[in-house]
Amino acid sequence: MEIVAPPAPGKLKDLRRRFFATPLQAVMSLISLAIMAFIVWKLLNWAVFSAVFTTSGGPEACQAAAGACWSVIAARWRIIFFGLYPYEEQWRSALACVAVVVMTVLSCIPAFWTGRRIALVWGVGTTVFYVLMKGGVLGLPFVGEEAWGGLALTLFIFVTTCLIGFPLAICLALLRRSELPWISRTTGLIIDGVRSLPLISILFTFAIVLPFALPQWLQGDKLYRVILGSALFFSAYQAEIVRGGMQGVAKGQEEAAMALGMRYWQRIGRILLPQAMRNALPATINQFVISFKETSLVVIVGFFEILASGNAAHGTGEWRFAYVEVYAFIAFIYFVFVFSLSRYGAFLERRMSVSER
Amino acid sequence: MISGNSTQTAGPALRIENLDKYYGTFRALRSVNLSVERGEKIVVCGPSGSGKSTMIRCINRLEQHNAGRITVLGTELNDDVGNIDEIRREVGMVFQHFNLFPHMTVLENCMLSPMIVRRKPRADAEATARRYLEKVRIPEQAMKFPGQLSGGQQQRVAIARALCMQPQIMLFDEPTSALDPEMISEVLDVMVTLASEGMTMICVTHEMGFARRVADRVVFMDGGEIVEEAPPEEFFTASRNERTRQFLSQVLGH
Repeated sequence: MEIVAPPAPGKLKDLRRRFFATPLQAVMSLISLAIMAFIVWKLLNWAVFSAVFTTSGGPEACQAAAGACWSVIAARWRIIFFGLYPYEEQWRSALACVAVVVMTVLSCIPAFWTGRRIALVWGVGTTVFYVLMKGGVLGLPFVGEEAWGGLALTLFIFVTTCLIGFPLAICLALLRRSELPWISRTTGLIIDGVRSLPLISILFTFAIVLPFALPQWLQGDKLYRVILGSALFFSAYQAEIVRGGMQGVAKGQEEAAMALGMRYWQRIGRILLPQAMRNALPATINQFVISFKETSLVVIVGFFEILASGNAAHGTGEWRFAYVEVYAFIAFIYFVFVFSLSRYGAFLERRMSVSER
Repeated sequence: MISGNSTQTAGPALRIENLDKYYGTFRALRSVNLSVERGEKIVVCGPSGSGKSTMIRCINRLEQHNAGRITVLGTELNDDVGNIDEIRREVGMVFQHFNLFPHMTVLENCMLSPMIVRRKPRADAEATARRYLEKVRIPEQAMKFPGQLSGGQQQRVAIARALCMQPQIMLFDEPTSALDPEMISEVLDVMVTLASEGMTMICVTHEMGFARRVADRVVFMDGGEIVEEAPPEEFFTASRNERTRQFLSQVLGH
């Protein structure tokens, strides 16, 4: 005899059960629906139907219209994306952004997760970015770091912060679980110390105070000092996330690896870290997202990352009134990057959960 | 030999002399002496907390002893990392809770250590792994993850994984204690086969039927010391020791 599962309720029936079960519930549902429809209509009207998209009329046409003034983006997108980068050379900045994005996407693909391939991707990616942005070789005019800005700068700071901060975080986490008390305590002190400082004070210290303490040849450009500072900050938080992930790995795992004759680094690399990173994945994605948005703080030490460039886009002269549109546009760019990051995190979790069924 | 090690081929497989182990101020092992010949099967039993697990965990340095000497295959176990590595390559271990690597397939579990510790080529490692999976009678599970297997199957994979290193001595630390009753015999069967092929085995277990069938000697521990050491027929029927008889009446009593 075959036993058939009861049929799932139809979509319409399910809807009725959830939202229209009683008269009161039906009224509440209808009111909420009306409010939502009103908001959506207002928003669409502002953003699309009554909006101005072309620059032909100039700012005056915008001010006359009732809707959004997207012409400000059409007129000022170059400042938003490239900041103060020289106008004739901005194609380089655009290509550099593409290079960083390609590098990031490639290193997110599992097929590239071998030491040699990932090193190749990162080596080539950062070199291409650096050569394109800075120039001075291959017939490209020189552009100093102080002129970098916009999206390219935001992406560069974020990616390098992670590239430096992540390995550093793993080192800190491993040192913190050392059996030698003076190593684990010192590391703990460093992590707690960095975590108890605000990011802004760390950026200030690295950008402005450090040059007084270091010899000339060690200082480097302000940009790289700022990146180091933000990588240090990132690693202090990420180290605790990694350590949490390590605590979730059963003690027997390392014993089994020892009993099979694996050395310390083999146990760490093959057994402990893969499992720890899986445990730590949701918190890690969270940390990446926070770090991406925190890049906007570098404006206080004088860098024109994308948010600051946006301020410049609407802050001068005739587009002064159109700040909402500029912020909406920048929010959209942040959203694209952060949302992709979240979806990638979800993909990784699905992929890893295969082995846990 | 592939590893090019210097372990001797003559002499006892294992010699433990006056072994002491402390956890803080608690003395877990009291001057333990034990010698195991090549090919010998030893079953270690005793009440919980008697030091049997501690003793076999000292043999491959999962625990560090505080005094006494352990010599494995002619190599002394001391602070020399080279010696520890060499001994761990030659001594396989099976744990109560299997400790398979959950992020790798069964096959990868079996291939990893031969490849990175013994430096075997991948094809060799895979052939060996498949041979031992066949031997523990689960070749068809090679591509599954440990989490997809039953407890008994996982423990058989753990045995295969240890055997893939082609060790000269196998340690079993209560291999059936975490298993559902109906899965115990499939694991014991594999261990019996292994014993019949001449493997040197030291098993901490409460499976007295297994001890009777396979052991050359049964070692009874209590309070951190070896109380009695005897061939199984003598141990089970003619023990002169009061503590042994009391323990036996508890494990065999119903």
